Amino acid sequence: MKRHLRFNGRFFTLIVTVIMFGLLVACSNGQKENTDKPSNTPAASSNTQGNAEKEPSEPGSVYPIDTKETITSWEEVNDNLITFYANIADTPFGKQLEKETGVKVAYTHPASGQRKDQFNLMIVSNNLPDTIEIDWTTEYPGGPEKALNDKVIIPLNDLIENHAPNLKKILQENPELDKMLKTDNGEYYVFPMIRPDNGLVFRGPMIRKDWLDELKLEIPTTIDEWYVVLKAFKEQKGATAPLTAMYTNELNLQDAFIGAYNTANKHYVDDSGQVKYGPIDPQFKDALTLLNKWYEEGLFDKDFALNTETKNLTAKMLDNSSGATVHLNSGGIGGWTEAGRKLDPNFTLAAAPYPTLNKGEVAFIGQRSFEYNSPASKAISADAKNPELVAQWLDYAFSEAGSALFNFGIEGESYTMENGVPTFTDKITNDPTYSMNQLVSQYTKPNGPFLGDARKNFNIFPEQDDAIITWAKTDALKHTLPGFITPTVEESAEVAKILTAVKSYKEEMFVKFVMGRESLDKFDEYVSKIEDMGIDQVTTIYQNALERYNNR
Amino acid sequence: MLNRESLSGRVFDVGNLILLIGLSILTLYPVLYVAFASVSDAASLMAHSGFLWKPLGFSLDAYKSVFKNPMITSGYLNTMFIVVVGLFINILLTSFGAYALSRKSLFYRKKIMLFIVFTMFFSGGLIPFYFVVMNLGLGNTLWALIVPQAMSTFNLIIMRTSFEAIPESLEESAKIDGANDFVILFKIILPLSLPVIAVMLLYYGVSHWNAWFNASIFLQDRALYPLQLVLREILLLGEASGMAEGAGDSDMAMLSATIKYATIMVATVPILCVYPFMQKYFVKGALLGSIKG
Amino acid sequence: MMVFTRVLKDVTKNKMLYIMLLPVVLYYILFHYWPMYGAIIAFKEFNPRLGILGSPWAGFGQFIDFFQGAYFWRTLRNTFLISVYGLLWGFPAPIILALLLNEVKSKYFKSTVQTITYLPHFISLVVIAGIIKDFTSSKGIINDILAFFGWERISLLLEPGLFRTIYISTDIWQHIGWGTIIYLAALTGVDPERYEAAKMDGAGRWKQMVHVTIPGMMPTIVILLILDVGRLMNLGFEKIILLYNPGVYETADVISSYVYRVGLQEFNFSYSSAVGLFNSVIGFTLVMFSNWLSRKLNDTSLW
Repeated sequence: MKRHLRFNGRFFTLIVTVIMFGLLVACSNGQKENTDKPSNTPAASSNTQGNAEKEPSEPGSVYPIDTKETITSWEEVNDNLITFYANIADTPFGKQLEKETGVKVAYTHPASGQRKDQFNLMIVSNNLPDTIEIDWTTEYPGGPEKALNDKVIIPLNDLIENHAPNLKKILQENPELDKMLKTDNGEYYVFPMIRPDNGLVFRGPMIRKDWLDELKLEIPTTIDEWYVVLKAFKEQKGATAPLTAMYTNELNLQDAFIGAYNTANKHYVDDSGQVKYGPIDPQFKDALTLLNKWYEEGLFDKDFALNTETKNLTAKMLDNSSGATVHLNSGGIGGWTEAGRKLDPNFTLAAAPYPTLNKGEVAFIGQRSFEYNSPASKAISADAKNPELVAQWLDYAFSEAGSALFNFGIEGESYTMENGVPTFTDKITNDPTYSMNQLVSQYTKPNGPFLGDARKNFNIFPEQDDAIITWAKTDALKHTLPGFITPTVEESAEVAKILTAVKSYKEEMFVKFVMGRESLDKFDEYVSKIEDMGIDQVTTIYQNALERYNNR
Repeated sequence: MLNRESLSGRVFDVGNLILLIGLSILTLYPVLYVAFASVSDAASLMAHSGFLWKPLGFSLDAYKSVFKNPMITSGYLNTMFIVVVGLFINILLTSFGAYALSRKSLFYRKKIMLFIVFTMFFSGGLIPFYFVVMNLGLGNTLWALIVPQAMSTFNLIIMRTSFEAIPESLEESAKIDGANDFVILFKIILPLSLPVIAVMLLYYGVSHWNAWFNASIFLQDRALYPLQLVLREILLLGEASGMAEGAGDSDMAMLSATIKYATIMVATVPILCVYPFMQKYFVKGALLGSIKG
Repeated sequence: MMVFTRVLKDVTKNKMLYIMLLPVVLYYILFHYWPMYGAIIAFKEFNPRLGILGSPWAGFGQFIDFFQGAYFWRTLRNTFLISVYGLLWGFPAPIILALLLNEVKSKYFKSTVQTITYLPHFISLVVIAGIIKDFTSSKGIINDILAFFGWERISLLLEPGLFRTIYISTDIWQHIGWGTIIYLAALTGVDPERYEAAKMDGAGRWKQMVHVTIPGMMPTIVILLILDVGRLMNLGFEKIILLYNPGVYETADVISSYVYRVGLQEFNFSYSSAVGLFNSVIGFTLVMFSNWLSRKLNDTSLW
């Protein structure tokens, strides 16, 4: 008996400690829950309001709207914001938006990085908020047309016509944008995020300007000039990987270097309007030959296939292993220069034009996005009780006052007008603890359906302003396959099936060709294998979708 | 005879010592790496690749930013609640199941075991699971992270195996006294099973501590987020998600270089400290020895 | 009727045991068997708006796509090889460590080694993968050592022949200490008298280990082995996709990583469910077989 007691005692202590601890935590937690409750009760509040109010006489044009209804919105919250607020409704931006539009909004935010999972569960559970911000062009299986057919979202043509005068005006003035926002049947499905003119080009080749100056070299423009520069970087600056690049599922060159041979590492549109799959072009072999040659000579990063994360590239650019790459204007030229100067005050990165074969040519292709930024656009769900009100609320972001709020925040707080130009205040730009992006995220909506303002500029260095101009000088607009072509549902499934296999094989061979593990003599064999996998079907589907797009 | 034995024994001891020290050095590195990175100077860390054997410069800025994040505190409290309440339910249910299934007198023992093991291989997937949890009214509560995780089949099997190894002679006297199964479980079996309970506490505790996925689908209220989900969001900071492309995210990249490591430290160190406390239950033969003593 | 009386008899006899089992069985019915209808999604063309039951049937279409896919055999082979080699090397590792620790006389040293070796288990995979990449890069520490002996510097992760070795050895490195815990717990159940008796018989340390320590761990070893065999097909994609690149697809691309890439193209619940079901059937068959084998060879079995 005695011996049992002894063990029971020890066991008992263990259990009691666990329980005590549990109670302790439970109590403190219970309090917390209570205090936080009021900020997030979307369903309840929208039900109690009812549908009692009457429509404003001139819909969409008078803000604040006189309504007691609450709209529900599902949208991802900006990464920078989550360290300050749990819900957009609590932010200065959210409060100001409510004040200016007169509409109360209950927001639901998925956890960062989980929006796709949560989106799918939301759709399956048949419990849709009034408006949903997600990439409707890709994230709903089957695309926007399918989402409309499945009655997940509603066509917006009538709503835009009658309740969204601001967006309507923008679409009338910009037919190209108008085309992007419609399905092939001519139905609008989202309120878009519209990028400003200077926000379309943000990636491209960049090079260490301080090294070039030291070596008395100019910024290279042709393949031959690049060769000379990279060789000098290797021999005179000791760079072990003079040219490097990110590798995220494929080499992220934005078709720099490859484009010099009038092809691309993807589907593109040729001069006669034909869709082509670049990796099986005969001239693609020349591009591979070039990369292979640079690889063998130690000019192109020997470990390029391992640069799967930004930090791999960052380390190489900052520790002087590399002198040139293709990357973002902000994170690259901006971020690296900022960090690099802390280690070497002369560190300067400058944009180089997309290289060509002969001097004076315009590059065949390069990075260029579309004015319609689909991942940050909102659709109105089929469950919306008052779609007119939702449309009016969304349209505010396309008015002059709304655009100012979405881009710059609250006048007098986050920005002031100086000579007619909105300028961020000291509070935003000169905070000792928080970065500009962190602070701006509280007063504005960094991504979302609104009209982007070209005057909103986070560039730190003059090289960043120059980069946008340098990189824009390509024929990318002409040769890039528009992102908003819509194959039918059956075609999409076909494309997905074939392209997954093709891309896997293409990438494997691409890496092997560049590394010299496969001889380029096998290029023809490689082309015929890709043809056997059915690439022509995909190309035809794209061709037809492109023609439907052009006819919108 | 005796001498030869002790000589080879000594050679073995020295070899063993060297081997274990070597292994310790190898396995210590990842933690040191994170610790060093978390107190390094952000710009130097960004420029660095390869072996890190001391902090690059010294700065506690990253920790300052981490602790300024209000979500960290609420995350800690939520996780503590989940771990403690969860563990209590885990241990109770698992020992019930393990005890019942370790009794040879139970005729349907093997059938029930098969019924349980089957679920290790076949599941209905995320969507129906989501509906079940929501239908039970657990959505947007911390119970959604506790009740569906009330048991793990793997742990049940481990505990059952351990119960089966306890000599039956120890409970016979109790049975003769007419004690029922609850009495035998709580008075004899569990006190004899402290090491396996410690293992269960570790296994279940760590899985609660590290869980984030269920939280991300069942919780809408950010104030309920457990620590790992908060950590995950911080780790994803600055990763170009397509959304952020083209936005001015340069300063974020630099900030996040060290913040990520500091966050990992903050979220990991507490659970690392648990093991040394558990260790005293792993002393060879301690329990049986003291029963007999 | 026979069955019913049989059940009734057992329930009356073991009333308390069935009371204990009640919440357990309830848990499994509620959270495992109730949602199991979702497995039919593998035979459907899933449409989120229509839900699982409402989506149209697709028969074996998803399975046919998977089996006839261009990379079915390669990914199957790679999955199998990484898993089997992983089991061959990875399974004994924590057992050996537990045995070595068991031979250490200093309690302090022993608990220090235990605590340290279990640490890497808790470091997130992303960080571990980053460290592996650092170590294996052409400028990394492994190449420093190789270069010292006159080898040429190569990026180890770009060599198809090395992928499995790197994957498995780093897995052991990360989880060996954690894996040891269960065996150390099992050892606490060994009666010290048995060591005394073995010593009396003149058994040295080696013989004590073979005849006392290892038999003491045996039930745990067998059970874990059966479970691990059942999990051979469950090789996750997380670590693979952090370490691989197209240059080593020929040895590194496994079923789960391929399905992950397919998922990137088109979000497809039905396809991944079909693949999951395929893996489950194989896993369950393997576990049935190894359980049967174990029951034949010794007393220990899952059921």
